[in-house]
Amino acid sequence: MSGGPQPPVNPTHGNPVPDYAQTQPPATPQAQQPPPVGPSTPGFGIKPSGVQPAAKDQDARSRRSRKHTAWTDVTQIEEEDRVLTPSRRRAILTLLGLAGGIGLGFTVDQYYLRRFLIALLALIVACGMNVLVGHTGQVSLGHIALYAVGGYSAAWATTYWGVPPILGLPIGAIVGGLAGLAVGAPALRLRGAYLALATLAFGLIVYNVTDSMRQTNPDLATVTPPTITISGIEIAADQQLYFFGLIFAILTLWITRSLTWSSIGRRLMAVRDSEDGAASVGISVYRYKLGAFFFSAVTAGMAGAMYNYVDQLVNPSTYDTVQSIRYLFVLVIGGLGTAISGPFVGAGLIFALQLLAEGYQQAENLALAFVLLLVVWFLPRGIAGTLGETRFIRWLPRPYETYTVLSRSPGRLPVLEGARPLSHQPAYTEIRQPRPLPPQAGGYVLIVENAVKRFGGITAVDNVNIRVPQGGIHALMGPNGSGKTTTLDLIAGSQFPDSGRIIINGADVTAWPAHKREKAGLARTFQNIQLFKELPVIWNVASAIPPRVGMAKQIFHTPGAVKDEIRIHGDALAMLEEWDLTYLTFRKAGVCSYGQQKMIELARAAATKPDLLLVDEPSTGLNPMWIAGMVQALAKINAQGTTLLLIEHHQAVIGDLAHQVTVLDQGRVIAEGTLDEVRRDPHVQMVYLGEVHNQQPTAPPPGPPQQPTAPPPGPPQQPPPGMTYPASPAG
Amino acid sequence: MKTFLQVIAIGLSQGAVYALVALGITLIFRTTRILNFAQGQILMVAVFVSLTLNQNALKSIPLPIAWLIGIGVAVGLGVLIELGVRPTLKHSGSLGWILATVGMATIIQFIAPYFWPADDRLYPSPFPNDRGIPGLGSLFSQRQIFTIVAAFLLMLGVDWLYNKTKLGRAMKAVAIDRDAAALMGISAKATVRWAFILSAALTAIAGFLVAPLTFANIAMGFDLGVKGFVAAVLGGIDSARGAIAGGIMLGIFEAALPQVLDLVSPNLAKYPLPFVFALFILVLVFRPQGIFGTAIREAR
Repeated sequence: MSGGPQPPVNPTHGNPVPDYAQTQPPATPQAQQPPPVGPSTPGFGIKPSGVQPAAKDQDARSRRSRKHTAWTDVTQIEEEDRVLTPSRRRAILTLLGLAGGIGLGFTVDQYYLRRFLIALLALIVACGMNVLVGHTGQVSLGHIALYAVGGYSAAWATTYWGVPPILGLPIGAIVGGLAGLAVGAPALRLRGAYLALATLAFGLIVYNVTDSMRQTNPDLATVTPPTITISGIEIAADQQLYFFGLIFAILTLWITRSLTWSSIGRRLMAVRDSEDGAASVGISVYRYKLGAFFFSAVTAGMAGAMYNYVDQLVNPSTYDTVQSIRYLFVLVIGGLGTAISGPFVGAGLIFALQLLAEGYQQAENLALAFVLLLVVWFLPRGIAGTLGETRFIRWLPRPYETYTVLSRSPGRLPVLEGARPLSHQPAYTEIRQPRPLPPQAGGYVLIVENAVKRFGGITAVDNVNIRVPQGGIHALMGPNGSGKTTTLDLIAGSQFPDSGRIIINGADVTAWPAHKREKAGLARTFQNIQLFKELPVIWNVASAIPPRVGMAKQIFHTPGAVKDEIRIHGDALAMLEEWDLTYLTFRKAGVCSYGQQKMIELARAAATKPDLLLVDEPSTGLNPMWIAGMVQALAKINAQGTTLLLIEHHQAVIGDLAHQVTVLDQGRVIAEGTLDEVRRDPHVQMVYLGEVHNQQPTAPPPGPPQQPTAPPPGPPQQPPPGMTYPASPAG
Repeated sequence: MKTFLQVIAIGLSQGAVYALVALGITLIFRTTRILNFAQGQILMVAVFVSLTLNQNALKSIPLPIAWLIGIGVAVGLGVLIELGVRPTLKHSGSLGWILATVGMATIIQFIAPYFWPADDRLYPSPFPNDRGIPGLGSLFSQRQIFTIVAAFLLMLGVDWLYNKTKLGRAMKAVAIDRDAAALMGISAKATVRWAFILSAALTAIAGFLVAPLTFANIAMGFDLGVKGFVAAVLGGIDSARGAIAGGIMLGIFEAALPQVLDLVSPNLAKYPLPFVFALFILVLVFRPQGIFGTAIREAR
């Protein structure tokens, strides 16, 4: 299209619609017009195969967004990658790192070794904080307190309570972790800045308590812990301690790396990007956040205990608030949300600062804060994150995290080396039989019984009853503010009814939290899209596919866990293939167009293989072709055995899809039946038109004949030829 | 009874200062949904600038003028902080501006020792020969009364500004929806700038009021900044009146706490701070809208 006409622009949101532009014959003047809607619904089934639309786009807006766009052809493998596959590069780097770490221990003199050791401790803490702040997006300003708790508990136990010194580390880790749980459990109910304030206050409590012990309990405040002795050899020299620290640093790095690239890591990032979206695919947001807090607390406690052996002196000033902020600063400078490269760079920075500002703590902190500001302003991904993005060092393996951030470079997820879409696992996208309903369900997948929801004096949902039979498609209609979305929220568990019951698949889920309802067979999309914006499209879908191996196996990256990851990615690729979204596989979800995002969200919901799918306004804001594609997609999901409940304003869409319609007004059900029936209802006409029309509707809605109850799970309902959708009203 | 009244007196005067700092924090938060972690450092700089000018060995500048210059420096600092935060607001999530304000707080905190010594210094009061208020005995000192009255007047001013002036309405509008406010002809940029300016000025005045009651040292910024956050959260961070109530409450709580703890153990009474912060965490977790607040919008 270079130099040619502009791509068509979606009238509702003004973004170009490259996908449809690609399916049009090139550069004819008509391409200026919104693409004609042909006899067969165009566009959606046609992939923009082999094209690189971004490269051809002359539109200034697209050019700006292309900077943040990774167009990737999955099949394209660069020559160098065939020999040096990412996993081989990774292995080589790991070996080099190991050799370097061990070599340093034997060659470098004490002065430097000690500083390396302190950098190793910073590395351990930074790894833990990265999982919490970078992956999960929870800011803690009080982590030094957990470090202090680990350090003090280990010091007291080994010095005063007769515990063998070697056990100091596990004690520090365990007590630190428990303290983390104790703080995190209440504090993680808060978000963003409030969490930061609460953790800051916790840090101040611990500091003030230890500081007051200087007077009240000097023995406890200032401790000289004993050294470790292993089979008669005292581990006190810097070299021995260095190797001791190295072992634990390697352990932490390994666990952090496996954690990042497992289902757990992916789901943590999903929680960071959208808590509602994460809950909708069955992720327990609170538990994942608490887990991340626990992990970072364990690493902090362990590092605190280890510092005892380094300094041989524990006192309150080791743990003031500034120290806590230092760890956060170096992590951000290194690169938040990277797997381990960010903490690595951060630890390197700690080492360099120790040499540069020897003895000048103030200057050191000052320099660190300046660098932090520069990074926050100009390199929001941090040093390692930015390098990973630009492939400044071409030889380095392109990290996973490249795909979690804005990426300019095409590439693949290393784990995909073994993943083959479609061939190895045909089962995932197969048409499946609907799960047999338990007898008490009475043939209904969803029963809403007398649901009531009040907000202050307003009754948003007033005694609503809805029954959706298995395999059916049910639509909720009603003017704005009639309580449709609130009803959907009650069913999905985002809100809870004041009275009434919600029964899904025969299970009374009225009191279940949102993430638990996924287990009952529920999935949903949102009116305001809740994708995991920083994650590649494939991970958006993959996060909805539950892992089959336990957490412990994922954390330690056992062969079984790796195999399961390959299965998940294969399934996700298969899903994308089925949904014709393959060309978006590695694109960051947040930069996809509005229509693409809606489709991805639908694909994500479908990936949970739901029995009941709630779809909130699928056609709103889409152009006619996207609406056609959306209708096809919904029909396909329904044909695969999923019952649908839609909120929709678009009469044509409802006419094509819905077997049964419920009309709400001011929170009450005012009509039920087929679309034709409710259209004839005088009350509905009153609400929509303000007057009653006695004659038949002028244009009866097209579509196959509807059956009010229990339709046969027949073939997918294709929109009939010639069916067109007028542009949807926005909002 | 005497102790009780003394507790009230100390609590009120300290609380008035906390309320002013909290007011500064709320002013920015309500307009931008940002918590300025460098608020306390602004206070410290204003206090030390005016102190240095006033107690200059070469030529002492009268206190009111020193105050004005101190406010000017504080305002300049506030604008700098606003400029420093702005680039981080492009990204979603709160991490960017938290780091930016914490980073700037750290810079101010660690540059200060290069200008001013780290020890406690006496700060001049407008009432150098403070003999208390006649008739009240030694209950209230003049500077305490001055602090309370001045703080109260300022609070009224802010309340008036927020509810009765165009700028106040603009601040509300920008807080709710920046883009919509811009469409209505409100300059979001200018409104935010004004919020930072007013906030910095208020904070500087809080510093001038508190410094004669305690001492001036470069750690005071961090302490008062944190207390300001506690006060703001106690009263409900989204409202000016809540910030005032929170400040007074915190002041009285802090003054009464040692008396109460003393009944348990004299040792505990010397270290009331952990209890203050524990209360803070409890309120944050269980009543994030504040003790008096009814509703709260999410922080950015």
